Amino acid sequence: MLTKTQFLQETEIAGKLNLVSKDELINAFNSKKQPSEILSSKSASFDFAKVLSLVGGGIVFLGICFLVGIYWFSLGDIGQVIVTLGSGITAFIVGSLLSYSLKQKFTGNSFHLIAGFLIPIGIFVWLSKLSPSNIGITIVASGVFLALSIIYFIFDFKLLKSNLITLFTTFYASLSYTFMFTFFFEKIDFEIINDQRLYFFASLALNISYLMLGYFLKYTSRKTASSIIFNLGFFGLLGSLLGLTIDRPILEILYVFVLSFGVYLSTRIKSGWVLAISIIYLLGYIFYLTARYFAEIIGWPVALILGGLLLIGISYFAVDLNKRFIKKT
Amino acid sequence: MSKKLALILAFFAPLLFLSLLGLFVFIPSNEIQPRYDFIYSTSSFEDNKFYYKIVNNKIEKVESNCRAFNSRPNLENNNTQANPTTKYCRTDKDTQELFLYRIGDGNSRQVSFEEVKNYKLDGSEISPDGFRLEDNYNSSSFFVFGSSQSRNTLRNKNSKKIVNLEKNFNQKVFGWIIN
Repeated sequence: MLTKTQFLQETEIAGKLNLVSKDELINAFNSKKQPSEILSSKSASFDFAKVLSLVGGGIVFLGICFLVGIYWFSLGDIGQVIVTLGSGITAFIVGSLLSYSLKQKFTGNSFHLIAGFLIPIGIFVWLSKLSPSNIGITIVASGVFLALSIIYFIFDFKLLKSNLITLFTTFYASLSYTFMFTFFFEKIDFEIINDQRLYFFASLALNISYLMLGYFLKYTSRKTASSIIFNLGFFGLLGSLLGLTIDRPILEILYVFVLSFGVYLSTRIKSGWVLAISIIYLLGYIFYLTARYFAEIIGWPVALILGGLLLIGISYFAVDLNKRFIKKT
Repeated sequence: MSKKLALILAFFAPLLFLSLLGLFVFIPSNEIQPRYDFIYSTSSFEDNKFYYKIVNNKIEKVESNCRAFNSRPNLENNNTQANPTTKYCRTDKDTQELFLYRIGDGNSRQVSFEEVKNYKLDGSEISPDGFRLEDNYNSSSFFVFGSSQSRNTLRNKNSKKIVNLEKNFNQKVFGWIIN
């Protein structure tokens, strides 16, 4: 809450910048609305503006894609790099200026959204023109995306402090990791373990990282980024662990404890998303086990009926759990 | 859990995995080296008008009983009806394509019928030193979404070696070069 002096100072600045008129202030004083109503209507318009500005950014990005697509082959190599990477970097600079210097964070985010997608496309176009022969393209791509994530990280922590920039930093770091993994994967000319398992282990390491990063970000101002990264990490973690259990009956049984822990965790950290993700995996897991081990014994129709009944039971359990432990608080 | 520990783990988990994987780049795989170069094909004998087979360890050119791919009736044009009993070649390429894989340098290149005629070939599925060509097609979740990878391996009872062949889902050993 602002102190009286702060409020008067802010009002003075807002008046000088023509952000608010005298009539609007008088209307606000004469308003018959309850404070809670004002707050809720304020947050609604706040979110709506935010969504609109981001959708605008997405539409601009699509427009650029279509426009560039029409003239793509007549642009030439340098033109193609300039129009993708150049536009991306320009959008990033404009977004940063708007967010940092002019304090127009929402509008800035729209430009950051455009930059966030255009820059990697531009990098891929640039790398495809370079096509380095001696060193693999994957290691170059990994290095470039690592550098990009470091630049974004510096901008994020020093200047912008934005959820969107944090998400793009994570996205680029993940791309760097993926390319580095692919580089090693192609270099090793013998099979360490089954390729599929190696992929699941790679995914597991990345998703553990997401979970930890999401947890860390919870203590910063980036609450939205924290929630997205944590839930994405949890979704990926359960997926990679499920992948690692396939064709290993003992691990398949142990996986139910992982899911139970997921449900328990959702009540501990009071997260509806964690509960929903655990339940989705639990349903998938039940159908997987039914199809794999019981369908031939009891027949498909009976297996389907049992699966459906379990689904109803679990959804009741989930709704009850959500009401009692998560929504209540 | 402290937030500092969480941040350390966030960086440490992928770095540890990549470091471990990186170690395997430097581990030599000489112990599991197959010895026989081989000729492989990316299409089966039913696909082309002419195909090859091995008779007395030598390659021979044989005409398939399929009708030329280009003689297929145009099904979009309703004037002609396809005859279900007629067998058509699956590609418009006249002959089966053959490739040579060299174990020594790990390279693969297309070879002509004339070149292959110079080699003595073993047409069995398993090489004289016990290796079999396998296609390991994997599709798995990685980076949250999806990823797929197809790699060919030469596998014997105890070991396997990855080989880089022409990109295709239907690579088959035509013959192992035995001299």
